[in-house]
Amino acid sequence: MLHTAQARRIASGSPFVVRATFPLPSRLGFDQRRLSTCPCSTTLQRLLPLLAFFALSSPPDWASAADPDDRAVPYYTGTVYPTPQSAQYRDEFLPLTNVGLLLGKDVAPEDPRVAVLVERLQRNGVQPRFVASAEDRSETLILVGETGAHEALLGKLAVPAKAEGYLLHSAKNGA
Amino acid sequence: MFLKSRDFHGLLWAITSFNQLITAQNGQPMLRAASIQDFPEFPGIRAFTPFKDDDQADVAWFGVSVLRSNAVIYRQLRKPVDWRLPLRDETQFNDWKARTQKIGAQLTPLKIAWYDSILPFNGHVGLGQVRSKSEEDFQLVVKAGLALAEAGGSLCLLYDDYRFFLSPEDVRDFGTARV
Repeated sequence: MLHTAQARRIASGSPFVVRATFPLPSRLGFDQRRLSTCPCSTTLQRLLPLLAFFALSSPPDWASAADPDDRAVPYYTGTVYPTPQSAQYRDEFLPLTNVGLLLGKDVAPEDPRVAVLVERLQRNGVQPRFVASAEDRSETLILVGETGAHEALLGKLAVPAKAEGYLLHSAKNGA
Repeated sequence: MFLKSRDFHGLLWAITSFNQLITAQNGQPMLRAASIQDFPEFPGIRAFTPFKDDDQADVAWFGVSVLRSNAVIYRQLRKPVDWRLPLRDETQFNDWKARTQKIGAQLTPLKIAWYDSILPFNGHVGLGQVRSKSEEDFQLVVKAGLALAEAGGSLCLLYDDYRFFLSPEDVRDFGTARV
């Protein structure tokens, strides 16, 4: 939900103009040259992150105080943006009150990508713990990188054999 | 929850996707369950330009985390009068340098290429255009480049969209095919 002051700013137009200097993926639904000329067919769902961006461009004072690291986005919309190559969303939600982070051998605790994850969790009131074993009794265990644990839960899912490809999969142990 | 990838940026995109699925129900943090396999259709450079002339760290983060840009191109040295001014004036230079270091602290560790740009545009001939034989212009460009390199970024000499006038000095020294 956008702050009302932010919504007013959106309605009155953002003072900033955003331009893409290189082609963006057409699946974003944007014109190849200018983000400000989205095709009429762009759905509201696709526009939500853009609206969030415009809102962020003129945040209220409390926002900058609350997010000194400038990583407030993205906002929750129920799905992932940009639209993934393959995505199945389920109408079930995993609790994040007791979270363990198990890092693969390819990911160090001080890895800046881990910081992006931990920051986001903490911003939502989650205090994740780094754990050393997949047998840890965390309510929700996040396996980051190649941990080699619980691979059977992946079934036939695999990381796409493409540059910058990734796999995100949530599963219930024993389910 | 599995977050896996084949390379550095793949895991970053896995994490930024994960971050988009965090919400709250009855005041408790929750994660929407999902299975996602993804990769960019365009695996090369996907750049994003925050148009406003300051660090815009939050906007840059939008470009990276939501648009999946792996390069950010700033244009802070786009001054309406003269791009040289913030490089000549030490106070302005130090302010700009502090902003570049803030940008670098955010983007460089994530291996997001970033640039700040000198945009030598001015609608009036004789103001702002690069003087190709000028030692001062050369030294100012080097000064900007070194400061950006120190912060983990690179310098872009941005000639984009406009008609860029030649400086009178360049016309005199090198001639022109323009009519």
